[in-house]
Amino acid sequence: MRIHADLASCQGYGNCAGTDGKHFDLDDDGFVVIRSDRVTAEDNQSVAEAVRSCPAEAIWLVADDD
Amino acid sequence: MDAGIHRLELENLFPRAWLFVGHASQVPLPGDFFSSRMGLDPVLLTRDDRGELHVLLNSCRHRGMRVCRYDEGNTMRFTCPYHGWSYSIDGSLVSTPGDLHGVPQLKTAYSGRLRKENWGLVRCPKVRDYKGLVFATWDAAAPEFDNYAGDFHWWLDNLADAFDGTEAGTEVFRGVQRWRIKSNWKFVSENFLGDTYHGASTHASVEAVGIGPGGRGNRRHGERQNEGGFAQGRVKTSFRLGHGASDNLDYELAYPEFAEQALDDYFTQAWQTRKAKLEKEGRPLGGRGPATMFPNMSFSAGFPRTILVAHPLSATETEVWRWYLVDKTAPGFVRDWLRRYYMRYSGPGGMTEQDDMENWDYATQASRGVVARRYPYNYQQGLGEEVPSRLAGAVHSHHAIAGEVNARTFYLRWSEFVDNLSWPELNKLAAPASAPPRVQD
Repeated sequence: MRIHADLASCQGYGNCAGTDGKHFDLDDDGFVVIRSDRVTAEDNQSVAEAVRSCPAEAIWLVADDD
Repeated sequence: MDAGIHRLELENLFPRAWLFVGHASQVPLPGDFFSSRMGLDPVLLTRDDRGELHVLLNSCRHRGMRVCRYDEGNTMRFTCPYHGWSYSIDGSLVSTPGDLHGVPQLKTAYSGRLRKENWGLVRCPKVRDYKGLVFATWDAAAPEFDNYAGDFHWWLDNLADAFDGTEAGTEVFRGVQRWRIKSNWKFVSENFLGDTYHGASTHASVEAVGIGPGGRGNRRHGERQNEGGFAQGRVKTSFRLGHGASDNLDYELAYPEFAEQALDDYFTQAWQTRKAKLEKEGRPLGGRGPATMFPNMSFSAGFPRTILVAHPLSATETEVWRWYLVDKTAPGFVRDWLRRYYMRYSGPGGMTEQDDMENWDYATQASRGVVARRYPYNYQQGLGEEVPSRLAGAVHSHHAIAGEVNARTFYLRWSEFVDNLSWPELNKLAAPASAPPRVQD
């Protein structure tokens, strides 16, 4: 699984970066930057929580072959 | 009719009392919500991811925008349409459901300095699911619900339990009626808390056409036509706490006779089941009301079985909400009959309710004038003739359809709240001389 971010939906809430700083950061305008889109098994829970925490539903996981 | 008094009610009464918010069956699943009202404040009755109920002020902490504009639905997150502040009721995402979860541009606009945990939706500190009836109060200093209700709870039990006595066996029909009347809200409360005097005159026409289950020749609440108005033994019950009921627990009245045999069989069976259950518990069989829980939640626990809340829009206008209850296990033909009965009896289209609304409207209008307001109403019926009750903090009227002690006591309690007496003072005034509180506050 890898992480996909929809910048058109992102509102700069910053919940993702606050939940999982390893995979998410915010740029100078406050919008999401994916630091690492690879999700290992041990990262699963943390990334899933970050995805769930986005009020704009702007980030989600996609299968590797998509 | 005074705007100043209305203001005091909004400041000192509604924010402190326990108010009816909705029925648990309206929000059965996590994420379910129902938009309701407490006084004039819009609230959201929500069920969180763990199944707990919350009553949240439906007003964004940023600029007050109504966060949710739907009557009901399912969501774990309320996002304000104005600036995007987002509140979650998911306990795994926020420490308390209703907390502020997302703020757009938190890092840039607020330099990360906004403390989200301080800006959650305002919540009722006390919420109580009483057998499906959900009550809440804004006042953390208010007594526990059981102490606020006192022995009036027997009427709430009859409302919430099924017709056959199954505890918490009712649910509400989908859909709450909401309509406005040009009347002060207290006319509504007073009508149901013990005004049996108006039945013969106001409701003469619906009795004549047989609006009750038995049709013509049968009284609408089930008493026999030839028993001179009310059978022996019925009196009203008035609680010092402000609640009032049109009947008493010992007034045993079987369910009405129905014109249709299948319904008659169903309700006869229900009555027998209930009777057997309550007699085994040593409980009296009466107490179907109508009644009012102080200040503005009125209900009837019989035929019809319905809850009314009178929201105080102004001194001369009220928004009335009606919920209709049915047994969870009622079969289709019973639900259908009840639904039709409720619609023809109560609500904006109900014939019996319209009789009452005419009174409330015209009484309000005729009392608004400067001269009219110089002359107080007459509340002397049965004054000094009240009969003691074995219920804590209660008395009975001296007569079935006469005796205005219920109204006098309602207004006494009302004045204590509106005059902003503290809770210790309120509790002391309502405490029966010997009985301790039922629950530790």
